[in-house]
Amino acid sequence: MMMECRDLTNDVLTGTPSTAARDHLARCADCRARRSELRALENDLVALGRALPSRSNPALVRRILTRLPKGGAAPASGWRWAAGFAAAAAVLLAVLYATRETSPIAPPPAPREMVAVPAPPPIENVLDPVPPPPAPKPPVPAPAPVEPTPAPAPPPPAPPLPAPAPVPVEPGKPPPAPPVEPPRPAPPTPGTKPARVVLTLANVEGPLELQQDGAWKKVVKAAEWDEAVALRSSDRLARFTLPDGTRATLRPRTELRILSAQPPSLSLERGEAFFEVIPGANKAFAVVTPDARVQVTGTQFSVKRDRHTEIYVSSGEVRVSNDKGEVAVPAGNATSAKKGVVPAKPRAFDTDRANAWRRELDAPETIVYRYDFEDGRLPLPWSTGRLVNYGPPRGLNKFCLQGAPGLDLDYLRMDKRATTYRAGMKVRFRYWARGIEAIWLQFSCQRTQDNFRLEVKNIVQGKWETVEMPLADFYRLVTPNDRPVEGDRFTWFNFAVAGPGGDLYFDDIELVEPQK
Amino acid sequence: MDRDAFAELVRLHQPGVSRFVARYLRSRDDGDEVVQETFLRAWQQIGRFQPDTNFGAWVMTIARFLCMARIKDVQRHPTPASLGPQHEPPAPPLPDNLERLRRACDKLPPAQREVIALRFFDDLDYRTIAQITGDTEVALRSRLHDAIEKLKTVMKPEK
Repeated sequence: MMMECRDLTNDVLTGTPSTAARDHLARCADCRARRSELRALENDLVALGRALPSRSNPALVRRILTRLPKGGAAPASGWRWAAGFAAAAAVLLAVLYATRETSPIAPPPAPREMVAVPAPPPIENVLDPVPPPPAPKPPVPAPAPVEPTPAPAPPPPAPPLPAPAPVPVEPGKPPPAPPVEPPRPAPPTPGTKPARVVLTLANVEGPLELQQDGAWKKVVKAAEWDEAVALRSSDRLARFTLPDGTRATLRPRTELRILSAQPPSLSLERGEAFFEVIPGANKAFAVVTPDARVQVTGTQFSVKRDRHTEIYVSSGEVRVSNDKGEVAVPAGNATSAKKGVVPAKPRAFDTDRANAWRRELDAPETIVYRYDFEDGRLPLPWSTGRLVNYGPPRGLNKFCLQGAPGLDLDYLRMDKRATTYRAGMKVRFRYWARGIEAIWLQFSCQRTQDNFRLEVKNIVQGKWETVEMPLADFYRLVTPNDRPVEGDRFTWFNFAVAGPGGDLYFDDIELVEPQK
Repeated sequence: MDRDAFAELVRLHQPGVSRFVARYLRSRDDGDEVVQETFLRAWQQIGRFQPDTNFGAWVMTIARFLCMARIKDVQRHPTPASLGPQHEPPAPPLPDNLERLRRACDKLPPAQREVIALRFFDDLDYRTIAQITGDTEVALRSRLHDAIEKLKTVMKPEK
């Protein structure tokens, strides 16, 4: 059968031609020209692909390998139902334990000398009585195509106990009741030898202790944390990292136990802990107290266990549930939960301030200057900008600075000490953005007669977010290796918006340096 | 598959996946984060990977989904960016004809740009591309044909 020119598609021309196609090509100069043109174009495309940069990134590979959970990978899909069933059974047991009124385990004696860490005020007493309208939520990403994560098992129904009335939070009350026995994994059945649940603790800071043979032993740098033992901070703050990258900071005399390792689930026995969970749709980090289960996929939040449970969310969103109901708590909100009562409706709260205690583990620093604009006046050095009363909802603060398209801070109108660069200096601020792709920070330097600049990318949209940038990371555009040096004097500090503008607000702008 | 074998695969495929991701996300930080998340998810799901199939393509399927989720998450339009990774430091200049071709590719509609990149830059066959993008092979052939015809038209006047 004879082939026509229109039968020779690009695929035919560039592939291995059939006999009929070869015959046609032999007698049709146009098609031969088409084939040559097509092959040249395809060769150019392949050459272009090779010419585009494709660099290996050993640091990135190292980071990935560090974060790979130790031990085997997830089981094949055939076993997933079994894992889900086991998880549901574990949750059921956890709730059954959690609903018990008394504990056979007496709390360990409190250390005699304590370092006082100011506690945030109870939620109900300081919440803004008229919560501002909630910020619009970002769209939820579509589910993963590879394997849908099994949804967290809903809390099973609790045994029929009379529901106690909600207890209001009141300061100055007597110490909390002894902690209720934590939910535990099921004991091993005789004849079977279930795998031990162990989490590796890394990057340990502060006095962290593991219970071993009835005694508390201090953890230095790293340790294996077995489900059978409790973990606590003694008289000061302590911090550690879990294998999945979650960082936990514990206030003094806070105690945790493991409920499960995959996904990580911890029981907060008492005290308060702040968790920074690395986002990842496939895992569902959870913290359980006798009052509620706090479920999260990537966020920063603290859970405080007293006579009831308080949850303060600094970033992302968590779901707080118990046998009576569930609430979603977005960033900048707090809630409380009590056993047998529906978790309280989330309310706008200054969660950054409530969770500020966690920074006490960081190196001490001196605030060179700070602007929170709370007196309602635009300070003189801010030569541009507009003060806004009741901007986007952000808890207790009332005033913030409207930022787009740019804001200038004139150092010449300030104390001279505030304009001199010293090693370790950082600029820190909070922002709220909508439709902004990147923010540029710029310092104008007298020595170089040029700007030092840094771009803040990955702008979070529609909620308050804190940013901290070391001045040592700022660079000159023309010579990127040129960085600030000790003694450099700055004359201007400037926020600018990269790309098309949008809504932008700033608050709590600080310049800090480490204490000597 | 054990951890060491998987680590070897990460080392082998990271440059390709990074380049793939860079075509969707402009920010290098975003890109690195997505690459990291891609391999972590791959490890979690490794039980589902069939050893006799293309690991690179399987990982790219995950990476593409994560890129789309990230784009959606930051309320950008879910369209692939330029074919050249924009967030890399300045690369050595391309020869004139390749530079013209790169600019021509940039002007293609996103879906056509994507199939051009997967076919010629990543050297993948239609079946694998279909697995990554979720399109049918017929649709991909047609899309690639249209893209090639457009490139021919753009490149012709100065040839």
